[in-house]
Amino acid sequence: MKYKTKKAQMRMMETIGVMFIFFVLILFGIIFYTKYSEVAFQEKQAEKMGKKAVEITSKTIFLPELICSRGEAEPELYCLDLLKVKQAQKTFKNNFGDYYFDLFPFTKITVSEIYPGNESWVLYNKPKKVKLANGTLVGSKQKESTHFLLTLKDSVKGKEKQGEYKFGMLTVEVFS
Amino acid sequence: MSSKQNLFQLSKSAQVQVAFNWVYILIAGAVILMFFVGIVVKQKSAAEEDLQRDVVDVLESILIGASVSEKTMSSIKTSGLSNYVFEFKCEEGISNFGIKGRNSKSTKLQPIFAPKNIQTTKLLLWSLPYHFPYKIMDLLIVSSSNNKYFVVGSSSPFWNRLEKAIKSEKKTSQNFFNVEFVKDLTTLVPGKTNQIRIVDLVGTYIQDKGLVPTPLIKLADSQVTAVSFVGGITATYYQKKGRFWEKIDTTKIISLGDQPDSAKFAAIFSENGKSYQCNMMKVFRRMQYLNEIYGGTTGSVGGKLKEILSYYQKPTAENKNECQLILHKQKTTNIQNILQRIKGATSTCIVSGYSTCSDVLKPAQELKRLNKELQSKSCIQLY
Repeated sequence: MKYKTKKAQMRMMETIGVMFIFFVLILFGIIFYTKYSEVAFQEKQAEKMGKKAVEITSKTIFLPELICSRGEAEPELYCLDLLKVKQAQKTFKNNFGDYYFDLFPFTKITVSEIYPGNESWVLYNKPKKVKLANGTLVGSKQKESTHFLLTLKDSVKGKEKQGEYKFGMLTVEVFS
Repeated sequence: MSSKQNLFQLSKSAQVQVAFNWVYILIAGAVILMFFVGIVVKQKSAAEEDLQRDVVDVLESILIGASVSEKTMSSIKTSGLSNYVFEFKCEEGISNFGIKGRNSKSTKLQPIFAPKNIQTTKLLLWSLPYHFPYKIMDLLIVSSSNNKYFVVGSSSPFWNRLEKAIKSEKKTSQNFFNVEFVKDLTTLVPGKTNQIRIVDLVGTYIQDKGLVPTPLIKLADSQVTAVSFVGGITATYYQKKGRFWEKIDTTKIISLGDQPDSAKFAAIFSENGKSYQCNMMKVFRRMQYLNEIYGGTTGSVGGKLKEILSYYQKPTAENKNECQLILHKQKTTNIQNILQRIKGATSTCIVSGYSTCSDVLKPAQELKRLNKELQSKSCIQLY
């Protein structure tokens, strides 16, 4: 009788041990999966932001509001018309909610002259605000930037109405 | 208790234990099997959903691409979704695109001209720039490899232009729309196509309550539609109803007749007049902002024009007098007052609707002429 009880106790201990290891393994699995999901999510977010930044850069380079048009002919590639850029600053700002937010969501777009001058124009600026635990709103620090070199054309300068060309850079910062 | 009785009880307990073990193994096996079957089923539906999402995302990326690079032809393979129907609709200024009843996205900005429903293994997309007279945006045309377009009406001047544009596109891209130019409608061969559209360029082949061509009578009503261009400036849409055509609606085509005539091309591929107008209104909405870029806000001179005018105020400016005449001094028409007219007409078009948008046509033609004049006089061009 005594022998039987001991055997049963041993079996119980064995079962408890197996279950303990099983649950430990499950716990490890859950922890591993959670960590993996977190990293995968962050990577996906970064990838998404990068993609968005590239998309917005391409949109801006070919935006009819900014391109160097040539009458009926094809527009000049990778060239922004400075006379249009100056007006675009106002137009984008005035019609931001009506139209341009759908085109460029939380983004900052800057055109800067690199050579010969160093002027710069902020075309669009809408940083994303995030709410902290205490309820205060702060600008999001998560952003992805892209830079693109292009030419800036000033039609009212230069000889023989060809316009003056300058080197410039388009910087697009996407907030998340 | 005797030893015989004990032995009997033990053997009975062993028998029960063996049977119990088997039942237990069976249940556990079934549960494990069901678990894996469940995973497979879940994975299958997840993969399908992923594919749907991917296709809609690709479609969205291509839409962005279309607004970026003009005159491009692209295709999306959708063979994994051949059982699903792609839906494209435009209502109240918003276009929805995606898989019918499932995954869809919307855009307020990009005009998409497409049949309402497309079931295919390959979606075809074509982007064309719309100038009025300056570039406003790119129009995106969507169709599929199994949508066939029969063009009829060789006496129309648009016939040659359409044929030329399509031939040149086919040279650069093999995945072009299935367009066939035919002499008349009696000898049509529908082939294995999902949807057929007749494009009547002269407006005499398709009439309301007129007879549907004999080779198309056997096809389902939903498969056959037609668009008829009357005078080159109006498009009337028809749907097959039994043996006869039934008129859906009519729309004006607002275009300067540039090559390619993107507004007219878009009308060929559009579901109907209502959807065409809904998409074109997005173009005019964008136009008001471009007007601002070129001429400043309504009622004042600003934008690029103001910069050009200030340049010609300088005594050193070349060709000063001639350029100033075209820009703002000419009494009848000059760029400054034409731009004001364009701004006013565009605002009316946005407020009052598409029917008033054709008022922009005349000043736009005039601005096109004046801009050419600026070029011929070696002045700085507005656009």
